Amino acid sequence: MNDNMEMEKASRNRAFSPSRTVWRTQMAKGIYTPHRVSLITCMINNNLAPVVQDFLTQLEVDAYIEQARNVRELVKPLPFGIPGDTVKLRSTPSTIFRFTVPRENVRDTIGAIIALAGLNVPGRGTIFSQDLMEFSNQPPVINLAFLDSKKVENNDVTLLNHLSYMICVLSENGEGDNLAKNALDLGICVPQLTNATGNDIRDQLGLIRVTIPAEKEIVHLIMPEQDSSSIAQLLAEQAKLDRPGRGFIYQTPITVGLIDTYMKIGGQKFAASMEQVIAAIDSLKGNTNWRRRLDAEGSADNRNACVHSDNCEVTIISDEDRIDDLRATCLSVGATGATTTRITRISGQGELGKQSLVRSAVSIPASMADAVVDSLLQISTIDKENVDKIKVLDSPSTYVRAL
Amino acid sequence: MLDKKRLPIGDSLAMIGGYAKSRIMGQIKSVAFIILYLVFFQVAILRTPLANAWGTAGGIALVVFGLAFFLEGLVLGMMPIGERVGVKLPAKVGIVPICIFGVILGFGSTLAEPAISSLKTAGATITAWDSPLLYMILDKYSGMLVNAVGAGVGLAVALGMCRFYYGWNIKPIIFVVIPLVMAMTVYASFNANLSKIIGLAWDCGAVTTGAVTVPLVLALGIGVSRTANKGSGNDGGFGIIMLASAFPIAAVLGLGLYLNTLIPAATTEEVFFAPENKTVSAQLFNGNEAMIAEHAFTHGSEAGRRALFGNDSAQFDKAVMAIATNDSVCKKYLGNETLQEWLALRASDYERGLLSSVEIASEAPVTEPLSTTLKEETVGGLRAVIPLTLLLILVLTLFLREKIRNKDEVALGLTFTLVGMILLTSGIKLGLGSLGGEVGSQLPKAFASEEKFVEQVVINNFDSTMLYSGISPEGENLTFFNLYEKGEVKPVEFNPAYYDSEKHTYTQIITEKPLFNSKLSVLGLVLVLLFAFGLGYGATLAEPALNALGITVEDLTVGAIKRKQIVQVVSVGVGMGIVLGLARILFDLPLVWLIVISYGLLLILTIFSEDGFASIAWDSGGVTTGPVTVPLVLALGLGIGGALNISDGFGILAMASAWPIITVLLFGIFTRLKQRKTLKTNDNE
Repeated sequence: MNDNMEMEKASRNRAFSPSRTVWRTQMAKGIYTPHRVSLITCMINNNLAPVVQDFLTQLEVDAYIEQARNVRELVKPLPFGIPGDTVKLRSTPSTIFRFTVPRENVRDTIGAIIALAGLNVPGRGTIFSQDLMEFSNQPPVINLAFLDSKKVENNDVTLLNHLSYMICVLSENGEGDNLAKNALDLGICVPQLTNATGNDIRDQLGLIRVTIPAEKEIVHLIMPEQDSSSIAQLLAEQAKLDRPGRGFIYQTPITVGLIDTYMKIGGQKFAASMEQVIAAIDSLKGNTNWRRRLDAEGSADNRNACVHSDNCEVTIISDEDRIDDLRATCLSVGATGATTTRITRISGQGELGKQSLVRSAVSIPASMADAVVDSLLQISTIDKENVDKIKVLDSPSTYVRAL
Repeated sequence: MLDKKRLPIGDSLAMIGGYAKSRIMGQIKSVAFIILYLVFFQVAILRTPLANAWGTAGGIALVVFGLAFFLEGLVLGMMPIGERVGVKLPAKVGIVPICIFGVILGFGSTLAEPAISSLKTAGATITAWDSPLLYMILDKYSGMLVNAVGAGVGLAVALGMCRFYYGWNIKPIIFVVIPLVMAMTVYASFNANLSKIIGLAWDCGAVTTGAVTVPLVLALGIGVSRTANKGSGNDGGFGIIMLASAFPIAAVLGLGLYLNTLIPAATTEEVFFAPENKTVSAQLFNGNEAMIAEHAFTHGSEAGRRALFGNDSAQFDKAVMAIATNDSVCKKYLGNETLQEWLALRASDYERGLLSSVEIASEAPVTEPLSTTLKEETVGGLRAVIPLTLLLILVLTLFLREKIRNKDEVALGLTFTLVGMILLTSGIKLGLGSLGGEVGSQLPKAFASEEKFVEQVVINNFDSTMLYSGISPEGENLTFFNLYEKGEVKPVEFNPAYYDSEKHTYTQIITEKPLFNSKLSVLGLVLVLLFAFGLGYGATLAEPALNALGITVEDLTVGAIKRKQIVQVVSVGVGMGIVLGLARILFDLPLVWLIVISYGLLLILTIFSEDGFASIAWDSGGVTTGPVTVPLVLALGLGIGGALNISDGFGILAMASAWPIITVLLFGIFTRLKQRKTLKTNDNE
């Protein structure tokens, strides 16, 4: 058994993966079976959301919806012919769909959504998939016949590899827009912003907790993997995350994805916009390696104190009522920093119970992963009903304040 | 459960300090505009010094603290409980109990926040002969009115719950309900008696949704719609307030239709007060004939009072004289008005002449002590907050068998809400309201064309030898005497009618000169309308229910629509609505056409709006008329209505809740166009 594991590790030639460790531990225990699935995240302009929602309903997957907004830079020439431009941020409401599918169906599903919603046009949205372990009552099932009917042959959209999904959790109100602006100025991608609550410190205090806002702003960024650590350093520095209580950044790997490159709205001065050029080269090359420009090694060493590598992200989907217990469990084994977001569930599989669901995410060191998953599994209702879901995802690096 | 950490006292105080400061600064920003605006108007334009500046300042401080407490309390206590009930109701019970709960909540909230009293203020000048139906509804049947409005709100909340439960769209509901209410209004406008209650009905719709009801209903709606598994879309929770504004209109008009059959038709003043019609007229006063006389004196003119005494001059003169000499007669005829007030507001020149020989002690205006105000407002606050919260908590714990999460936070929040409500309403009464009332009562000067009677002073030892003559450019001969007063000598025109040669007394009538001495001057009008706009805009900025709505919108759209934007857009709308409502009073425009035009425009705009935005927009109409706006606007409306002798101050509030819907819908359409552009610019590949 052990040899097998070693062989698997060696044959895939991958770095250490905490999620696989969790998988191994739980398989060995044999009580809960983790499913190896792919999580597809689709962040899309609100006007296109009904199309995707229809598709997912017919695909008969359980999808979780979160409201978000994306931010772009609006570039306008100064009035009265004064040379120069003004740059303002403009928010557009967007919707985030998250759903898991069997790993073999990822590319077909993504391809179908891209074709349906026209995601190859910059400005419409982003879609990507991540491989992870999921604990749930049932492994994900999809309507294969429907997927086949929507399958796009010979599509000219090239999905990109070597991307990284960066999640920036910010505690100060209004910091989200600042970080989004920095990301746009660096030309990373179109940031998506969501709201969440984080009760860590609050849960440990008495009534005085009302003076601490529970609201967190979360900025979601997709970027080339090779630039991610230097960009994270830069953003962490600009957002002053080295000070206590301001937030943290962590990243998770993306298997394949398509990025929205429409970062600037404004008068076009060339036959193709810079975004279109970038998108074209991306799709020609099939990756974003050619975009490498920040010297990751150079900037990284002086801030190493803030970086934790080999982390893992644990996500829990549960009824809102039980979130306090789940959080307390996380805290009791030392996992802090859980952020909770309200989500809505859609399902193609008949009527759902009237419930209010939340999705909580916690970024923890790999050494803690087994303990956290264990205790979460114990108080979850995974064995009884199809509501609770626990997802474990590798997170190669986290940027938190050095203690 | 984890152990709670204890913080050192210093840290705790610093945390509380920062928290309190941010909340209070926020509220100072939101009331700054209206206060500076009122003071500027009073001092710079109307050139009247501030009376009781310290009291007003204290009142304003109370308003700021009240708003800060109230809003924080809503966020901590009221809204979480409301949302939790909303989440748990559909999970545990079917649609029928949810609807029953909605009816109870809606009805209860109407009883709890008695906006009817402000409507009574607006209708204080209504006369029984001119609009018997309106008079009856506000007076004898005011209980029925409250019930009708309550039933309307109850049905609205129930229907709103159904909407969330089944995931109906808001637009079809708007397109059924609003044209229906409009049709009822147009129908009513063809009946002389019914047309008088149109203003009342629409104002009822506007004022019913108070500062506590709105956040509660919003939170409840958010809760119910969160469990509905509807998927994307961001109108969760909105739409009930719009229904809660529309249904009461229908209910009041319906009540009017029913009562109209029981009530004598409108007549002229002389016929109404004639002794032979006494029994018919007394129907309006519960058969109490003594009330007829009081009504003639406090609402009628000299002709009506003469008719009351069968046009018998001697008896009439005797009765008028008796008012000044006999206290019980004064009470009987004038009710709560003082003789001084009566002389200033109601009496004709002839009646003033009759009483000129009587010396009238001028009474200092009685100001209520702070403690009385606080006591009254505490009762009002308890009434508004406690029953509704109790209902929610009982439903949650006993009926749904759920725990209350974060009990201590909720308890703190409810305390904050209560304290905030009391401070806010007291502060408005003492500070903001009195400031607004002062400006409102001064404002008619801006366009008044005639001199206004202020008071009369009797000069003793007057001798005709003191008189001297003068001449006007037209060659008219005039007579003057010199009056020495406060160290100054000033010439006063002599009017022989006020000179009593036997007693050697002269009654000097002191009048107020118009500010811009011409007839209804354009400048005066512009000034008044401009003032009205600023008043509506500024008061709405500070409205707590609107701020709660703004917070909810920002939350649901994840900040794509900011709270500030919504508050600004709504405030501009209210300003515009108040200008229109005031214009109706100034130019005596028929309210029904203003309503038909405004709401027709609204329906057209709704067609072009997104579903989610439509429900936010229609709801923002209902939240605007709350504890800050209503007293200020009524003070303005009554001040001007009184100066122009217009029967009622209704209609301003109706317009003030229609126009924000228009501005918000326009804002939504504009934003959507911008978003579409973002999508389209890259679509042509």
